[in-house]
Amino acid sequence: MTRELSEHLSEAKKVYWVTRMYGWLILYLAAILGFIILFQLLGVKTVYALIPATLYIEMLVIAKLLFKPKIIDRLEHEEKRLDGSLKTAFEYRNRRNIIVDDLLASVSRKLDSIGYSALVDSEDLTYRTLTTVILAFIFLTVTVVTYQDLIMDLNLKDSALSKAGKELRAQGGRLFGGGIWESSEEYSNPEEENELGASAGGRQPGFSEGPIPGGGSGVGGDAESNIYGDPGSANLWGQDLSMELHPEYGGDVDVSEEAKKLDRTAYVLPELEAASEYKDYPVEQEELVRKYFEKLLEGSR
Amino acid sequence: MIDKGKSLWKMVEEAEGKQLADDEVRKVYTALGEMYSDIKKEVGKVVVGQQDVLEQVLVSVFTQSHALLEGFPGLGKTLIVKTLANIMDLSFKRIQCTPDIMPSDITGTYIIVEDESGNKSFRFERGPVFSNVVLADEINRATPKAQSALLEAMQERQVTVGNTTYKLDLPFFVLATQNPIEMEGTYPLPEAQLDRFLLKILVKYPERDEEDRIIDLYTSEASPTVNKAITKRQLLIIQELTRKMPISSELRRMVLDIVTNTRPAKNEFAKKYLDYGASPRAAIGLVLSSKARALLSGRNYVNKDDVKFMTYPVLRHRLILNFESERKGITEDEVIEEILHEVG
Repeated sequence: MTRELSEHLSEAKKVYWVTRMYGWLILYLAAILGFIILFQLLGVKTVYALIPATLYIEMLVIAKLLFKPKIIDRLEHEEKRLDGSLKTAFEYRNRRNIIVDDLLASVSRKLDSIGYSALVDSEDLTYRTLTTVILAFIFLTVTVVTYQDLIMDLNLKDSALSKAGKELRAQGGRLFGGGIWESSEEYSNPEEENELGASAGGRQPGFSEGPIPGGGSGVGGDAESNIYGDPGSANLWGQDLSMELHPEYGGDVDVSEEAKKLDRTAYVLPELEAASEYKDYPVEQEELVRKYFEKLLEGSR
Repeated sequence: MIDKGKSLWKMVEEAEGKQLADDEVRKVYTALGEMYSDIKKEVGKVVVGQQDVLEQVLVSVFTQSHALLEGFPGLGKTLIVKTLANIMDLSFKRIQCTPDIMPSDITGTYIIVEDESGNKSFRFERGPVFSNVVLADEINRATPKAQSALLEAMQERQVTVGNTTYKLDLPFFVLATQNPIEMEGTYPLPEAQLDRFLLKILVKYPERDEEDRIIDLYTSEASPTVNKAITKRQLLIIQELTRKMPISSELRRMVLDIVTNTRPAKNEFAKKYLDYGASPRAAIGLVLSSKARALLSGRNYVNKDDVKFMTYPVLRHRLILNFESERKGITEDEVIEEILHEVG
């Protein structure tokens, strides 16, 4: 009889610890996500989020282990049907009389019917799991919004977010036009891409481009309706350029072989003049123009 | 093999002249619930309502202890005790206490007897105390000397007359009654003697529908009769089983907390309303009576409710209220309630 009670208790202990470890794991995951979000907002490297999260969970586990309730107390607390009988049975497990024998047998039967479900704090586990899911959602949202913000404000090129973007690009991903999800070709849809740009009537590169400063038909402007397909021509300060733009890849400018042949000096001076002439032009377009000329210069070298 | 202990098992075996078998003990234990139902049914034929009183009297009987019943006249105190004695197949004697009662009227006395050859000698004539159940009616009307004679028998379970000591029959318990009104010409029991009663049971007025049934029962043609529900041997086995009832250390600590918190030196509330708190005998009584209640309830362990329920009858006659509580009209039960609230 006594052996049965001991078996029940050791099994209950096992269930209790497995449940607790699962709970701690979930909590650890939530802590990591929480710290990642916080660090991302503060501009700290997200990999450092592991340190406070690990420290937090370690301290929590140590505290819980130091003040851990006895398994019997836990069962008694959670399962009102036991009504103090388990505690009494455990204390009298080595004594023998007719009532104690009966008590041990009845407690074993009760434990059989309870099935240790009392040990699982479902409310706490649900709360932790939900927190983790919410944090994961926030993490994803913050990540996506952050990279879109990069597109909105290209002057952030020196900020941490910009650096993160560069790192991503260095790993083979492309920054503009949808953040990290377009780092692979399989996630891009050519049909959708064709609808971007000037044909869509927008104003921002990558999403809804408008005319490039310099008058006439700019990038993706009126000169060529299909600026994303075959190499087309554009007119810039009176010069006809053969070029191909891929705004969906972040607004980088590819200069075709024809353009590379051009004399580099021919573009230097107009660039300087253009800066003063179009100083009130939207910043993102200025940046696009600047990039364009940088590429142009690289191509002509 | 069941541990039969040392005291009562042996007494049962000696009294009955036969060994107690494990099977017999087990049989009594398993039939306890049924026995309690039978007792309630039989008592219910004569006494209407008063279930709490019956339960507490049975607790007192199962723990081989004595109880003091307090209530207004005509509430059925004597009737309950008399009926229980009949149901349990126990010898029953009633002592009507009066101011002129003598100790010998209780314990018995030597009388001169003459044999067939004309020789005269002293013979001890046993008093009413030589009985299984002694009802000391209106005990507070007896003189302190007579009270002491009875209380000595209660404590020692023996009577010494002259140079001879006489053992009392087992089981033995005294159920005394007292009236809370008409204190003129009474001798209230001193605290030390009150302490020997395990329980002070308050007999309250019946409910309206119960009273209606009482009127009907005692004004009709047929008078109720009761049957025996439990034998003396079974009762002795139950008394021993009561002591075997397990109680957890947590509840023992709770009992200690309750009892020590009644002492003014240990507790602010007690200091405010009490002159004296309960003795260690109260702690023993509380554990024992909780065990008996658990047994009556058909449980094989003591729970918190048992302790809480039994705290009132165990402690109420052991607390001495001070002037402040009497001025404010605070009763012992109210003090106990507050202490129970503090202990949790």
